Amino acid sequence: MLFLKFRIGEEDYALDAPQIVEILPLLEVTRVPRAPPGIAGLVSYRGKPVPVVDLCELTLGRPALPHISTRLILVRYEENLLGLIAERATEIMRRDAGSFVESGIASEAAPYLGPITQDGGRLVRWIKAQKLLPPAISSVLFRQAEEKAWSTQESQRC
Amino acid sequence: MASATNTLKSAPDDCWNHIGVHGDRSCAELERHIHCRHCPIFADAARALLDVPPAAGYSRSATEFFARPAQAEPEYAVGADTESVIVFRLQAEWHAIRTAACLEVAESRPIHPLPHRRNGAVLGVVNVGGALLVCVSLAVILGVTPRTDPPPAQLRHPAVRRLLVARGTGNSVAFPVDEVLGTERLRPRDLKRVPATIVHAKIVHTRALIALGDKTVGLLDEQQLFHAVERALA
Repeated sequence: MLFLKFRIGEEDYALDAPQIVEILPLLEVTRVPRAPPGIAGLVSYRGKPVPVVDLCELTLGRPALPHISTRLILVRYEENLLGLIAERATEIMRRDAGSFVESGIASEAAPYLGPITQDGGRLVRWIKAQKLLPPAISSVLFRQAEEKAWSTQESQRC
Repeated sequence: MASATNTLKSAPDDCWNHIGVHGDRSCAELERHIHCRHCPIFADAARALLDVPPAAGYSRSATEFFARPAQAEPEYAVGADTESVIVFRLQAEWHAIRTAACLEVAESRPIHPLPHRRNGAVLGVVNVGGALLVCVSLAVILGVTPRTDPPPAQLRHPAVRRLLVARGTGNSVAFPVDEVLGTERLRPRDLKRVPATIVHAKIVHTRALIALGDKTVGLLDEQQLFHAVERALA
């Protein structure tokens, strides 16, 4: 199985390739007023608005560094697309799903943290995009996206 | 890019320039990694090159690019009625074969003659990626006569010779060609009929003519061609 590795702070994380739609460079993100913390805003992807989550902001409370190695990962989120800003998203690795083991520490606050494997002496955590957002934020996010799409259609009609 | 190179040079641990393959090769790790490019220290340094802010305007242009709705250019859309061909040269003649009928365009390489095969079309066998393929002269099959007058200097250049590996009826076949121009996508209206007045062996192998710039290219009928190859091999 193919995994994309990235970092949140100093720790390594991985997303499995089937969750990923496309890996984009860090685009300019349009801020959404009064969005919950962690929500960076919206980007226009092929003409459609896609909500973007800054993984560093979500977990560490600081925005991701504006580096070339910081990338925007488009993942499937239910039937929508979701953008994830991740630092050092520059490497892939191949692993059997079976080589990941449960960490033994399950956090109520971070249900997206999956099992753990090792790569080059460092622990890598599997991230499940589906569980990344608390339901409250998820509902806000996709309602925002729909409203944005609706208003752009309106303005075109005028 | 220039700044990236400078960072690399000024990095305090550019060990590959001092004790690695670009230095005096005294590094103990070379024993294990053979070359610095296999060493994790080198990989880390390469990765660090990406941990810098992008050039001005990079995000802006990327944002604009990905915001554009995805749509193929209608003129060259990959439709059901278009086909891709590989255009190549034999002597002074340009021919084309459907890309789908080809497996590979390989570098020109030595052809090993087969004993007791003095048939003009079968040149011998070649090694392509470890597989031994029969090498057949398209020039003989198509009746392309070698030019008696010396070809222009740029056509004689040996570096442009290629080996076209095609998916034959049974096994793959390699055809040495003098030059490969590349692939072209054709629409049905690009294909012109072969004039009926041409009385030549190659007319049966040519499906249509294509005008490409100043060249007239004969599109080969690969069914006919592979039958001719089979007959030559028999």
